[in-house]
Amino acid sequence: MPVVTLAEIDATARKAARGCGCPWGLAEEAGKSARWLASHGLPGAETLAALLQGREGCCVGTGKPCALALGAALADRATEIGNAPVTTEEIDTPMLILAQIGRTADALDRGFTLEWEGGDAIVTRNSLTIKGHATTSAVTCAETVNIGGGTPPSPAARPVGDTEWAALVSFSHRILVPATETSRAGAGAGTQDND
Amino acid sequence: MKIRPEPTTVALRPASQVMRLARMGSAHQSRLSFMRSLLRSLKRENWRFDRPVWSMDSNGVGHAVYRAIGPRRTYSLVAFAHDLPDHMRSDRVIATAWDATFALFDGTPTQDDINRLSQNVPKQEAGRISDRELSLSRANRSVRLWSHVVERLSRGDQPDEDQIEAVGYLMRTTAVYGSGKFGAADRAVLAGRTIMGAPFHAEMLAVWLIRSFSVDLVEHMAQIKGGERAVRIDPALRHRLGIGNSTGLGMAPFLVNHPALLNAWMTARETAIARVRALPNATQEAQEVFRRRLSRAQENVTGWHSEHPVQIPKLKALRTDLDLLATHVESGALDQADPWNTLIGWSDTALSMEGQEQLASLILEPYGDLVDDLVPTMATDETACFRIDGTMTVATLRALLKRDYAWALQIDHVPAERCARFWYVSEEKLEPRLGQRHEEPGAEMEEPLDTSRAVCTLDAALDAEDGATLVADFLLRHPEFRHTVRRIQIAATRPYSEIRENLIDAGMLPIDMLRCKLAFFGASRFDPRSDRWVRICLYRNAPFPGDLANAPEDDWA
Repeated sequence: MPVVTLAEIDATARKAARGCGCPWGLAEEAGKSARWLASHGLPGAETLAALLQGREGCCVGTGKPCALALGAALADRATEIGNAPVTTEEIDTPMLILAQIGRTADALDRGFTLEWEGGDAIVTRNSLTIKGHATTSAVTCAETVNIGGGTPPSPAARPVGDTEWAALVSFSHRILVPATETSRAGAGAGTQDND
Repeated sequence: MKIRPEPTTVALRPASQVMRLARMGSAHQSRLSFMRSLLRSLKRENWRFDRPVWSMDSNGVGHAVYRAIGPRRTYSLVAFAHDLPDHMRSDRVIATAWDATFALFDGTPTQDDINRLSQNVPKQEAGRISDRELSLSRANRSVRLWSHVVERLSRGDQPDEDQIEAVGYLMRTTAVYGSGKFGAADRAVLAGRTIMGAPFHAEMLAVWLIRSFSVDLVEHMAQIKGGERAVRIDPALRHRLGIGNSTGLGMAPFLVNHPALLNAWMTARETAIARVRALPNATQEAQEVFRRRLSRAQENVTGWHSEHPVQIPKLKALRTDLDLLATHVESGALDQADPWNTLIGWSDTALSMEGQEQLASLILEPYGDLVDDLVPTMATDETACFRIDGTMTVATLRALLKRDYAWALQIDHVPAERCARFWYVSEEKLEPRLGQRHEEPGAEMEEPLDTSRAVCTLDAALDAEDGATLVADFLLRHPEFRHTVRRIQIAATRPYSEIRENLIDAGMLPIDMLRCKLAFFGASRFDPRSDRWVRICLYRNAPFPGDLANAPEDDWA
């Protein structure tokens, strides 16, 4: 299994999401969410690879927002969650909702609980407590007092699944532009370097 | 940390003045530059330096280890020297072999670590390092100066001063990667550390130690060639050798991709300038420091050469500027009340932009006690401002856009030359490049560096929305604006977060972006080789590790 850094997970996930048609702003969320999950020992790169596998273009316009779009929408209004818990529609990858709300807890220094079929989690700034397993499910998110006490993230590099990582890297390459003689000539000094 | 009241008498220079490429492209190093803050910290903490490994053969091929040993941690530069045929020597990112390659190791490497690195570091991007390493870099010799120095030292003579002055370095680095790239430790690994937590301090430490390696290797080669006749380089000459660097487009998008960090750097520098401008008078001691540093800047510009058509007139103007400034100061400009503020006001009309920015850096020189405490503010937690506040109304977002991006709304992006370029990442080397939109393929893969145009598109879309709509609802329908909305919310409380230019304009000069960033590193002698490629000198006149303890604090740049 390749060992990759959080920065590499972030960058590769962002480019992969963009390569699969996500607009840049959502692709950035994908990168940060994959990174957040990985930093908490969860399969961030793998989860995103599963979401992007087999999809053609952005979910927007299909009438069925994906977990990235839903998670972003939920997090954008996270300051309202304190008034009343919010339940999403059924989604394939509750982990991406968890990541988005986890990042929100970090940014706002607030605490949230999430519940889905088969599991639940508490996120507070730099801390995660998670039980059960992830499955296709609706996710209910509520605000909780920020008690901390969960597991902090780790900045260390970590192994990722071979095939999932290869898939992400391959998606990320979709946004690369082949070199032309013009572009090569333009990028460099135009002088030789044996001086 | 001390909390110091900010001066109320002098406002920070506005972003409309500071965040223009012409001015950013005239930036000069200052007390706040990362090289200088790094050496100040290493000296204050009494770091020790040694070279526990030197294993080099008669062709100059081998490896060495240089250690920096501090009160809490040790960092080691692991250096590999190679025998590179001349025809393979290229500073370009597409090169595949170099004269020397390096990794900065977190701690003291074991023989196993060195063996592992020897299999990977020489391959650079094609190899793989681990998060025990903080940076990966490589350097090429300055062939001309290298041969001269080897020749002279091997004969028992010292190198020619003029030749050292003309080139300025024995080796130039052609890439210094950090922050989680190619397997190196993520920024988060360094975040809590006192010295390495500051932006680019790990990279700047590596480069400083590479400078020592370049001198040791040239002396080694002279020794091999000359045997007993060979001598070491005179410390006074050695001192004048910096380390070169050759930097291309790859660095340019950084400032755009890190708006909160850019704001932190610019705010620190502008705050420092405002603090000094607010001083009611300048003591004789402060005036003396200023005069000495001004004289050093004059000496520096004398030896600063470029053949680039953009830089030639700028250098000429800077030489004139510094002479004018020296005359003005000698006529008593610093003896009046509010001397620094008056001097800056004078420069607005008397000096070129090169001179204005040189002066803005120079006035900080006498006032370490007043400005050095800003260094910690130059690191920023970018995750904290990444979140979008979706409960903001469209009306508020629109007002922020019109307030902070009025400069962008004035640009008409329709004419071909106003959208002539597109930023992309090359398949060949995974590096940022700049394409010609109307002549080259690939614009559909464009990176989001077309900020001013994107803001104009968003502005039009917002006009069609009800002002009471929440941003979250707008973005759920229009995720294509999410990137730009984030920028606007970041800029709302960070006035220096945006370069206020059309970055896809036909006339945009990427070297201006490079220069701004490199000046924050502490670089000098910017020598553009094209509109997107620049050579610089780092650590010229800086103490070597063994001299740091006895050198005066931060009195070299």
